[in-house]
Amino acid sequence: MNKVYEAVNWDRPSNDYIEMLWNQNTSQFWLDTEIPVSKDLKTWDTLSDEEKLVFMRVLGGLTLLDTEQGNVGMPMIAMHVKDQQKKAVLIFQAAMEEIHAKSYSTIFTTVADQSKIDNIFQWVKEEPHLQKKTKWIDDIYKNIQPNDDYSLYQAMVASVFLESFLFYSGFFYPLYISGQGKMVASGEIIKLILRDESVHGVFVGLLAQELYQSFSPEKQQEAKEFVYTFLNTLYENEVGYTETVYDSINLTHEVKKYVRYNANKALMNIGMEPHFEEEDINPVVLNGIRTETSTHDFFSTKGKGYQKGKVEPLRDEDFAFVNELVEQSSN
Amino acid sequence: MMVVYASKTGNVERFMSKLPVRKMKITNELFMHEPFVLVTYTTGFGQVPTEVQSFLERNDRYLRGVAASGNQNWGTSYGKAGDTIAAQYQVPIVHKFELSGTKQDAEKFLLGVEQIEQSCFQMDRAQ
Repeated sequence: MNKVYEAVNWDRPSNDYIEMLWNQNTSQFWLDTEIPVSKDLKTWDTLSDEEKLVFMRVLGGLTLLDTEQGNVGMPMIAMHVKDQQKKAVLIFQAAMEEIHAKSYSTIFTTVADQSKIDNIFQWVKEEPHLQKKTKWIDDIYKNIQPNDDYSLYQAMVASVFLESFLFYSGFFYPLYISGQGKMVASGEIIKLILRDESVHGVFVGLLAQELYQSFSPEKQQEAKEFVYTFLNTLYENEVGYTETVYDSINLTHEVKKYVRYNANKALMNIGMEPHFEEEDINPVVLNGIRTETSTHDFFSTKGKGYQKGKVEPLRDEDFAFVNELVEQSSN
Repeated sequence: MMVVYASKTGNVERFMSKLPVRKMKITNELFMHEPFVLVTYTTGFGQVPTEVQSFLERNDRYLRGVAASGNQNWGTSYGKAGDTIAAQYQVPIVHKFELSGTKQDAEKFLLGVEQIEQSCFQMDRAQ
C-alpha cells in the first residue's frame, strides 16, 4: 500500500485550543531589529564591570537555551507529534526561538566589542552548569522513539522545563535592572521573549497533559516520578549556576527564589502540583515586567505593549485638518 | 455561594478542583437563578473570554464578585479579565491568581467569597 500524504486542513480545528494558540503565537510576532537597543548605551556605561559581566553572561546562557530549543527541541517534538495543526504551531514556535537567540546578539553587538562577545561565547562553551543542563535536555529530545508516547511525553516535559523554568535564572537580571530604569530597550526584548515563552509553555504543557491522560495508572505514576526527579536534578544545577553567575553582585538569594517560583509555574503548565514553598519574588523584577513600554513609534519600534497593527482606509475627512491649516495660512 | 467558572487550558478547572464549594462550569445553556461568584481565565492580551462575555450578558443580575487567573509575565495585563468585569458590572474582585493557583490562592479566594456571602446576608436583612 502506498502511504497517503495529508495536507493540513485548518477548516477543521483538531481541538478547541489549537486555533487560540496559533492566533496567540502569531499575533505576538516580533523582530529584534524593531527594538531600539542603541538607546541603552547611555545606561550601559553606568553599570559596574561586575554588573556588565553578569548581564553578558546571562544573555550568553539564554542564547544557548534558545538555540537548543529552536534547533532541536521544537523540531524534534514537531516531528513526532501526529496532528498537522499541532506541528504547525510547534514549528512557528521554533522560528520564534531563533529570533530570541538572535536578539541577544543584537544586544551584544550594540553594547560590547567583538573580543568581549567572543569571550562570552567561549564562556558558554566552558561553563559546566550550562553545558550539563543543555546535555540533559538534548539527550531527552534525541531519545524520542517513533510511535512511543512515553518518550515523547518526557521530551514535552523537558521542553516546558526549559521554557518555563530554566530561562528564569537568566531573565532575572535584565528584568531587575530594567525595573530600575536601566537597559530598558534590552528589557523590552526580554519581556517580549518572556511573553512568547509563557505561551509556548502553555501549548507544549497541554500536549503533555493530553499524553499523560492517555497513560495507564502505572504509567502515570512513572511519569510523575520522572517529572519530580528531573525537576530536582535541574534545580540543583540551577542553584550552582545561579551562585556562579550572581555571587559577585550579591543577588544569588533573590535569583534562587525566582527560580523556585518559576519551577512551580512550569509544573502547573504540565498539570502537576507546585513543588516548592510559596515565596514573595523580588519587587524590582516585578516592576521590570510591569513597566509599560514608552516607545510606541510603529515604524521603528515595538514594545511589550505592541500588538499587530490594524488597517483602515484613508478618507477625505482625514485631511480636514490639513485643509484648515492651509486656509488659515492663506488668510 | 455558587461559584461559576470558565476554563480553556485546564488551569481554572484545576484551581476549582481544590475548592470545597458548589460549582458549575459555564456553558451556552447555563442560566443562573441565584447569586454567584465568577472565576475566569484571561485571554489574548488581557481580554475577557468571549464565552464569559456572552454568559454575563445573560446572567449579570446575580453576579456578586469575580476572580481571575492569569500570568504575571503579562505585566499590567495580569488577570485583567477580572478588572474589566469588576468595573463593567460594579462587583468586587475576590482574588487574582497565576495559572492553576497555589494553596494560599485557594485560601484567599475562599475568604473573599465568605466576605461576599456575609455582605449579601446583611443586605438581605436590611431590606
